[in-house]
Amino acid sequence: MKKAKCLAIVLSLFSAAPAWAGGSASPAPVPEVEESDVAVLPPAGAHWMFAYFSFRNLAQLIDGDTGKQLGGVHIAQLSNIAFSPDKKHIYVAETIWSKGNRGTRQDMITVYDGRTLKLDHEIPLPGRLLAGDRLNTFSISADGRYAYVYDMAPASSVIVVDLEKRKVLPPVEIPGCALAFAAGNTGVVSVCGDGSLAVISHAGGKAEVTQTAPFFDAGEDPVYDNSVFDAKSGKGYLLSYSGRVYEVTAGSGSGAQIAQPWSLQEGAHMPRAETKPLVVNWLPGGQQPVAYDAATGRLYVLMHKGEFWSYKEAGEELWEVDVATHKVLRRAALDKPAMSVAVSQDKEPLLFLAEPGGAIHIWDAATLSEKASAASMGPSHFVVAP
Amino acid sequence: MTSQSRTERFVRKLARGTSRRSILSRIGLGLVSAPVFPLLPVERAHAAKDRSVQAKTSFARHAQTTDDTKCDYWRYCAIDGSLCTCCGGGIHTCPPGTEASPTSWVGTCINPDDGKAYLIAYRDCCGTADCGQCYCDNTDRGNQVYRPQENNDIIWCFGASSMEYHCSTAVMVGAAE
Amino acid sequence: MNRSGVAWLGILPAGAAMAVAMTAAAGTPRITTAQSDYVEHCAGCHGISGSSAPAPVPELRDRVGYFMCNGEARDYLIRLPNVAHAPIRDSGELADLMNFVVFSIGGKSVPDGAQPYQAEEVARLRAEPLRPGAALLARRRQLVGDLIRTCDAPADLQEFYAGQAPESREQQDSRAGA
Repeated sequence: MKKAKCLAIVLSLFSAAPAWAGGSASPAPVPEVEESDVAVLPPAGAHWMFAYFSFRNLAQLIDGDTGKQLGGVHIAQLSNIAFSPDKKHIYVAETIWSKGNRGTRQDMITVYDGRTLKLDHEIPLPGRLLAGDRLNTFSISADGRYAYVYDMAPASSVIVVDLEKRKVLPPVEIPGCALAFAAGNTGVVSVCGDGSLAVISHAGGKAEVTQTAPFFDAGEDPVYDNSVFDAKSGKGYLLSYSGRVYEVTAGSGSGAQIAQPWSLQEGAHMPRAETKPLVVNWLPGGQQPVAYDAATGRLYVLMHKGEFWSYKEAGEELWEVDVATHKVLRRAALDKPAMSVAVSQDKEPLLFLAEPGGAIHIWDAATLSEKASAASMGPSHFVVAP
Repeated sequence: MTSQSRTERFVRKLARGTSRRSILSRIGLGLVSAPVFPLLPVERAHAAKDRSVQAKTSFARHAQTTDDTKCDYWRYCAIDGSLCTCCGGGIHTCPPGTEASPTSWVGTCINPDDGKAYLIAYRDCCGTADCGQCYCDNTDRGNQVYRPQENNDIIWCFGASSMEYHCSTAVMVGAAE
Repeated sequence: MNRSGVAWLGILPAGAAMAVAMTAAAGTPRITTAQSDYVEHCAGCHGISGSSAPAPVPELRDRVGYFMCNGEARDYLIRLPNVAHAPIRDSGELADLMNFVVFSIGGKSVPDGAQPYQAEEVARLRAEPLRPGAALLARRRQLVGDLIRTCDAPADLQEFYAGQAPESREQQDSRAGA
């Protein structure tokens, strides 16, 4: 049967031969009904986001309005990913070895075109910290000119990268501190082991570092590495295991201001949670437990009922908090526990919630109702379009 | 890597966590923000170092001392990753084809048999792909990367000839003082 | 371990002692508070025996004692952020820890006549830690240079561990941010 069909095709080709034998253009040897091509993305939408799992190699680009996958970017395990503020480029901070699990280590920022997702160029790095599930070991300045990479070699430093000149500037040592939250155009905030912040300002080409007074107890009630910081406004919110929120303002000039902390539980008319053992409280938890909508001043926090030291427990509820009044505005029960939350930065914000198994729920933030869903490859993190 | 299995273990672990939580919720019904068990009037210098029986975490109260291939084995109070006991290794033994990292981080876990705290070195076995078996993520007294010596998300393969993570062991060092 | 270990088992109820004997905890030697603090806060990176070579971490065993050779280097050990900020609030306890590190782990590298750290000294120094922005690596290089020149410290004290091939100055400078 198959043979007969093949023969029929060959015959039909022969019979077509005279038609092109005398032509001047040389037509395709086999007529093609469809051509293989490669899609190009439209300009990035405000509801686009990357979902990725630290131990898989594809960051999925997903349109939040539909839940559809638009494309993907290759990432090494334990990578960071970011959009440029103009959305024209995608940056991946990653580490590979020349022979896979061995050989020469190479650290780099791999730059992709935002429309074709094709490799544009690479910027070699002197190193970077390898840790799972970390968002704030890499960030981009508000104007998109600089990238900041946290390195622990094991001495701590922030590597400042000039993305325009494709050049690494001398690393800035931050003994006793870690992380690199971009603040403004030339500022970086790091968190220190004594409960203070280090603030780097590299305006004018020379890096200056200041340190705040200690303001949280890093041993008793640590703040999450995956707290939130808005580079444009220079405002960030550090969230502690017990649900204390520290508002940080930095990025204009040197130093940082830290407001009096407030309690998520008190915002929901409960006594503030303490760090004492054997006490059940509503507590934040998960791997990306908090998201910040800079335009509305709302925090979205994954909360679970549990005891202290349960800081990675998935959320049972999503709390919406007003940073101006410190009030919990709404509490939404989650059908399935969520490990990560993110919020789009536009006038009609969407919330992204990731289940441990990889299912993604996309909610309309105005109504807290599900709008779309998607699938990812594990307990994913989100990076939303700027 | 076999992150499919990591994911499955993760989900299974979550299921376990959820049931534990619902038990908690039942016990703690109407007691949110109130002690589950009566608290003894003990002055605590700092919770992170408190090793008294009264300070037992949920993990320590439910831990067992017989099966080191399960996430609730007492020494695993702050382990994050695949258990080497499920990967061809042992509680302090790396599986064939891997290398014990010369660096680690050290946690303290309470042995339920004697109620005492012990120093446990969480030492990663490095050099080949993620084992993918028996994935656990326990968090007693775990901290963030600005306190790296107390963080279980860092790939603790510094000094190994390959930084590729395979599994984690829980090596007994001694009784914590 | 024997004497203190037996005494320790002796105060447990018989049932508990049986249980201990059957667990991995059995036979665990009793260690001092300074040893316990060292293991809990330092040994992960520096190694339980004071060496984690070839990890890029300063090897302490038979090396850290050289820092007691002059006042600046002695102060530097306490002003290191992970020492100054160690979650040990009592400076006497921290002094005990650092004396264990220097005199026990440092072994033969301790100069004759070196005096142990005192609680007040540690309290004063830890209040002035090396802060973010301090050129820690360059500072170490300068101090170790002095120790090599004036205190008979080996040239490889500039490297992380004994026998490590010297890094090129260019690499060191780029890492130090110089």
